[in-house]
Amino acid sequence: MKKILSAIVCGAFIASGVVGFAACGESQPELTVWGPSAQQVSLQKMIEQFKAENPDITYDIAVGVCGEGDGYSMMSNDPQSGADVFAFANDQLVNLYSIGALSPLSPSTVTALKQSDNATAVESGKLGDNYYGYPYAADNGFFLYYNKDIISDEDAKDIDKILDACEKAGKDFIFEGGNSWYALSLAYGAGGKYEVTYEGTKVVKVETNLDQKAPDSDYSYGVLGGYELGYILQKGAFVKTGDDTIIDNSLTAGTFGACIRGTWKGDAIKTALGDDYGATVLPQWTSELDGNTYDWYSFAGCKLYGVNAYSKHPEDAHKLAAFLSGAKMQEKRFDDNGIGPSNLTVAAMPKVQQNLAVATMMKQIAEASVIQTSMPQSYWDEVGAFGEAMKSLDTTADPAILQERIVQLVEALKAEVKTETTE
Amino acid sequence: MEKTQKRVVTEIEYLGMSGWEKFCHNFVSFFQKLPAVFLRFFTVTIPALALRFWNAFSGIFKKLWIALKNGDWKTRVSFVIMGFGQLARGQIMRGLFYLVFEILFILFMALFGAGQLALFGGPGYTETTAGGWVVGPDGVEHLVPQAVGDNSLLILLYGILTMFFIIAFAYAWYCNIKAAYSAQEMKEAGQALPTAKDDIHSFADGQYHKTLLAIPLLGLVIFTIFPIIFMVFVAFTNYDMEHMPPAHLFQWNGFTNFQAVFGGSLSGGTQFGAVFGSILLWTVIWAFFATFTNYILGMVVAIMINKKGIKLKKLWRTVLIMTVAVPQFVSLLLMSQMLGDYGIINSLLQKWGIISAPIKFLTDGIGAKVTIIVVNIWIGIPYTMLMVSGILMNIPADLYESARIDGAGAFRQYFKITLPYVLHVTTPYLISNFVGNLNNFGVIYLLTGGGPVMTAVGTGGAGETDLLITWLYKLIMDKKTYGVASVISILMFLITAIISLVTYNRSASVKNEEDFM
Amino acid sequence: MAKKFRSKKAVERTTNGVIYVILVVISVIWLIPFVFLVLQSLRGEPGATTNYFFPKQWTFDNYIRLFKNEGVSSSTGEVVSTGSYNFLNWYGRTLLISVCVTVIQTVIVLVTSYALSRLRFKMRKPLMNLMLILGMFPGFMSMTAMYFLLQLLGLTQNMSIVGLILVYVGSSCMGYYICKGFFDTIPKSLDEAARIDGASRHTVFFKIILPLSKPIIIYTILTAFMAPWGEYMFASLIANGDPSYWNVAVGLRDMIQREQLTAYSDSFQRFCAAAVVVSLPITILFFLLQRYYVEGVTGGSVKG
Repeated sequence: MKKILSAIVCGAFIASGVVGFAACGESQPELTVWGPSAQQVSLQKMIEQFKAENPDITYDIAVGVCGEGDGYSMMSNDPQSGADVFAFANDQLVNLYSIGALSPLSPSTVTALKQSDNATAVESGKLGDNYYGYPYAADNGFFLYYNKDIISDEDAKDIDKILDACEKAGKDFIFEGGNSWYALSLAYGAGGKYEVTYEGTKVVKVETNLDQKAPDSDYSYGVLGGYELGYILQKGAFVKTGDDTIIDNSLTAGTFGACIRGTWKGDAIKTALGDDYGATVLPQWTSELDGNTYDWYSFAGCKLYGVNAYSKHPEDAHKLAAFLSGAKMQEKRFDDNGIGPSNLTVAAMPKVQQNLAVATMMKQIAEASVIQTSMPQSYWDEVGAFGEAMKSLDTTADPAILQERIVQLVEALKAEVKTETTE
Repeated sequence: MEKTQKRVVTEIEYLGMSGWEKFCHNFVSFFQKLPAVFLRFFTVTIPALALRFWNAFSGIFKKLWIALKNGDWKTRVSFVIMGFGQLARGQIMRGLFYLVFEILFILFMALFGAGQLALFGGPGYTETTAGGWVVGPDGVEHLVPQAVGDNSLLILLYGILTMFFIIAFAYAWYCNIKAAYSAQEMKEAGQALPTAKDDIHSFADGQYHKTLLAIPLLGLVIFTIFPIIFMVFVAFTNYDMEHMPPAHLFQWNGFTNFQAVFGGSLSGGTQFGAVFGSILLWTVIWAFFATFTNYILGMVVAIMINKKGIKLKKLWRTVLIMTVAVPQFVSLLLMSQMLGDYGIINSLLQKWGIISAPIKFLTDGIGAKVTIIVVNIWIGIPYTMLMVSGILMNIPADLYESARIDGAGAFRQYFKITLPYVLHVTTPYLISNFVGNLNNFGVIYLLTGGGPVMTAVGTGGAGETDLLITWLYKLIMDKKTYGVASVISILMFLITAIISLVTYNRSASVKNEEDFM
Repeated sequence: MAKKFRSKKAVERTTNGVIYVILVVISVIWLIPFVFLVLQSLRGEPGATTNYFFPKQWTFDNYIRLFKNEGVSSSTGEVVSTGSYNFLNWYGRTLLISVCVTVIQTVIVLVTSYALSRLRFKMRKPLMNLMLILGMFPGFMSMTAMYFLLQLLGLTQNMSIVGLILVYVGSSCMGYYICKGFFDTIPKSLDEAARIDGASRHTVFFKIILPLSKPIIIYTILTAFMAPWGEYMFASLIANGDPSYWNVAVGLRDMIQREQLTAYSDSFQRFCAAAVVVSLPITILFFLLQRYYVEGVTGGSVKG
C-alpha cells in the first residue's frame, strides 16, 4: 500500500511539474484583448493580421476570454489589470464608464465612424459629449424563426395563426417570454415606452408610459402586453419556454415549429430545417382584450470594442480597436461566426443580405425595435419578476388586477431615481 | 415519556431510563435550556470576557511601568532599541531577532506604511480625472491619458495591513521589554540565563505549541482574519456601484449602511424587508431539512448496508462514494440539466407516457425547493453513510447480545441501542452540518442559481430558492453594493457564530473532551 | 420451537430480500448521473442535448479532440483548433496545485490538531472557538481583499499557481476538527510513558502519534486532494480572463457557455469527457484508500 501510494504521489508530482511549469516562464504580453470564447480563434488571426500591418508594434498581444455580456463583471474586478481592448454589449456602457474602463474616441474617428457605420450603433456608444465604443456588430435582438413545412409565409405574420399551426401539427413554439429581455417586447410593440436618463453615471430620470391607456383602447400598454404574454405562454404544452438547449432539443427531435430568438441560433435552425427554414420579423398580434392588432418590437442592441482608459499603450489600443471593428474585420467576423455587421458597406454586401437571419435582424431593428440602452440593474430585476409572474397569469381574472401590477412595476422602475444626495 | 418531559427529572430517574429515553430527555432539555443559555451568553459570558480583556490590557501597562521604574539602563534602553537588553546580557540570538524585527518594521513604515495610513482618512483624496484627445501643434490628435488618482480600495487594504504590522510590532516590543526585565531579574537573583540552545530546545518541548501553530496561525491571520477585518471596515463606507475605485473614491459614511439595513430603505428592491424575511425563512427551512433528511436517510442506508447477512458491503459503499469523486460542480450542473423542464428525465417520462406535461423540477417555486432538498440528499447521503457505518461497527456487540436475551426485537434494538448511541456520538457533526447548510452556497448556486425569480414587485431579482448567502452574492455581483452586503454578512456571521458557539460548547462530546483520554 | 425457528429465518430472508432490492435501487439512482456522464462523453452525434439516454453512435473522438485541443466549431460544424485553450495545461496546473495543496494542507492540519489535542496552553480553548466560527464568514466576501493582497505580492496571472496554493492552504488549519477528534482517541498513557522516558513533545508527535494515525492522514490527504479540482470562483478571478492561467474547473465552465452549446458543437460531449478525465485520479485514489477513508472519518467521532 505504501509503495502504491508513494508511487502515485511521486508520479503526480513529476507529471504536474512537467506540465505545469511548461506554461511558466513565457514573457508577459503588453497588450491584451478580450473577446467571447467562441471567437477566440478568429480573434487570434485578426491580431496576427494587425501586427503584420503595423510592424512598429513589436510586443506581444494576448487574447483573453470574456463574453460581450460579461464585459462589466469581468472588468469591474480590477480595471487596472483588465484587457486593453475588450468587447462589450452597448447596455453596459454606463457601468463600464463608471469604473473608468472606457477611453473616449478621438473626434476624427467619430466623424469617420458616422460615415461608415450604422448611426444607431455609433450613437449607442455615446455618453455625455463623448463616444466610447467602436461598433462592430448590430445584431443584438430577436425575431421569428419558423418551419415552412407547417407555417406559410403569410401565416408567419400573425402570432395566432402561428400558434394554431404549431398546435395542429404537434410542433413546438419556443419563446423565453418570462426572461426580462423578452418580457416587455409585446408591450413595447403596443406603444409602450421606457426611457432612462443619466447624469454622468447617476440615474436622474426614468420615464415610462406602461401604466397609461393606449389610444383606441380601454387598457394600458402594460396590460395589453402583459396579458398577451400570459396568453401566449399559457396556450398549451407545445409552447416551451427556456434557453437555447430547448431549441436544439426540438431541432434534433424534429418537433421544431417556430421560435423567437436572435441571430446566433440561425445556423443551427437552418441546418436542421434545410428548405423549410424560414425567418421573418416578429409577427403582429391581436389583443384578446380590445380586439386591436399591434406590432411586436424587438430590443436593438449593438456590440462594441472599448479601450481601457488604464491601458499602458492607449494610442496603440485605440488603433487596435479601430482595426478590429473595421470593415475588413467585420466581414471576416461575418464569414467566421455569422455576426451581423454594423458597417454599412459590409451590411450591403450580397452575401450578408443573403444570410436570412442577419438580414431579418437588420430589418427587424430598422422597422420594429426599441433601442436597448444602459438599463439599471433594477430594470432587469423588476421586468424579470414581472415576466415570471405572467407565466402563471390568471387570464380569466379582471384586467384591473393586472393594471395594479403594472402600476407597481412602474413605481419600482422609477424608484431607481434617488432623490436624496449622500454627499 | 410524556410525563418525564414535564417535570424535573431527578438523577436517579435519569439513570433508570433507557438509552432512548435518556436521549429524548437530553434532546428536550437541551432546547428548553437554550433561551437561558443565550441569555447567559449575553449577560455573563460576554461581560466576563470583557473584564478579562480589560484586566489583561491593564496588566500590560502595569508590567511596562514596573520594567521602566525598576529596570536598569540595559532594560531601559530596550524601550527604544529592541533587543538591547538581551544583547547586553549575552542572549545574542534573541537580541538579534528583536533588533532585526525593529529595523524591518521601521523600514516598512518609512517606505510604505506611513504613506498609506496618511491617506486612510478618506480613504484617498485625489479623484481620477478622465483623459481626452487634443490636437497637438503638429495638427495630429493625441490622447492625454487619464490621471489615475487615489485608489480607496487599495488604501483601505494597505492601511489595514499596516495596522496589522503595527499590532505585531507592539506585541513584539512588549515581549522584548518583558524578556529584558525578566532577564535582569534572573541575573540579579543569580540564575543562569537560558542560552540559544535552551531556547531551541524549549521550542521543541515546553513551547512546542508555538512552533507547531506559528505557520497555521499566520495563514489564518493573512487569509481569513485579514479579509474579514477588511470587510468590516468596508461596512462603514459607501463602496457601491457609483463609488468604484480606482475611477471614483469611496468615503467613510459611519453607520449609514447599518441604518439602511435595519430601516429597510435600500436600493436592493423596494420590498427589502419582506424579501429579507422570506429568504431568511427559507434559509432556515432548507438548513433544517437538508441536515435531517441527510442524517436520517444516511443512517438508514448505513444500517441496511451493515446489517448482518447482507453481502457485497464494499460494493454498495463504493457505489455511493463515487459521487464524492466527481467534482461537485460537474455533477450538479449535470443534474440541473437532466432535471430541466425539457431535460432528459422529463423527455423520457413523456416518451413513456407517464406524464403529459413536463414536471417543473427547477422552474416552480415549491418544486425547485423540493428538488434541491432531494438532490442534496443525493449528495449528502454518502458522507453520512460512511460516518455512521464506522460508528455502527464500533457499537459493542454485547449491548445487542444482552438486548436479545431480554427479548428485544430488531426495532426495539434500534431505538434502544443504535439510535441513541449514534445520536450521542454525532451531535457535533449535526450542529456543524446545520450551520454549514445555512451557508451552503454551492448546491443552490449550481443547481438553480437561486431561481425561479420571485414574481412580486420590488423583490430586486431575488429568487425563490435563494439562501441568504446566494442572495448576498447577487447583491455584490449585480449591484456592487459592497457596503450594504458587508453589513448583511457581518450580521449573518454574528448570528451563525453565536448559535454554533453556544450549541457546540454545550454538546456532550465537546464538553467531555477529556473523557476520551 | 422448530417451527418458530423456521419462520424467524423466513422473516430474516424476506427482510434481506427487501434490503437488497432497496440497495439495488439506490445504487442505480446514485449511478445514473455517472453513467449519463460517461455515455455523453462517448456520444458521436453533435448537439448539446438529446432526448434519449444511450448514444446512437459510439466514439472516442471527444476524448481525442479534448487532448488535441480541437473542437467542432459551434457555427460551421468543422473540426477546428480551440486556439489558446489547452486542456492538458489546465489539467497539469490543477494537478500541480492539488498535489502541493495536499502536502501543505496535510502538514498544517496534522500539526494544528496535535497541538490542540495534546498540548495544553493558555489560549487553546479560545483558539478552538475562534477557528470554529471564522469559517462561517461568507467566503466570496473576502475574495476582493485576497485578490489585491496577492497582486501586491505579485502572485496573480503568471504566478497564479503559487497564489492559488496559498489561498487554498491559507486557512486549512480551520479543518482541524475531525483530525483532532482522531488524536483524542489515542490513549494519553502512550505519550506519558514516552515523556517519562525523556522524550520531548516533538519526539512524541513524530515517533508515537504519527505512526498510529495512518487512517486520518490518508483521510486528510484525500479531502485535501479533491478540493482544488472543483474550485471555480477564485481561480477565474485570479486568471483575469487569460485561458492559459485557468484551472480545470474554469475551463470546464467555459465549455458549456451558452454560445458554445449549439446543434453542431461537441462542446458538451467534450465537457463530459473532461469531467471523466478529471474524476479519474480521484476515483482511483478512493478505490485504493477506501478503507482508510472510512476509518479516518469515523475514528474521530467514535468512542465518545
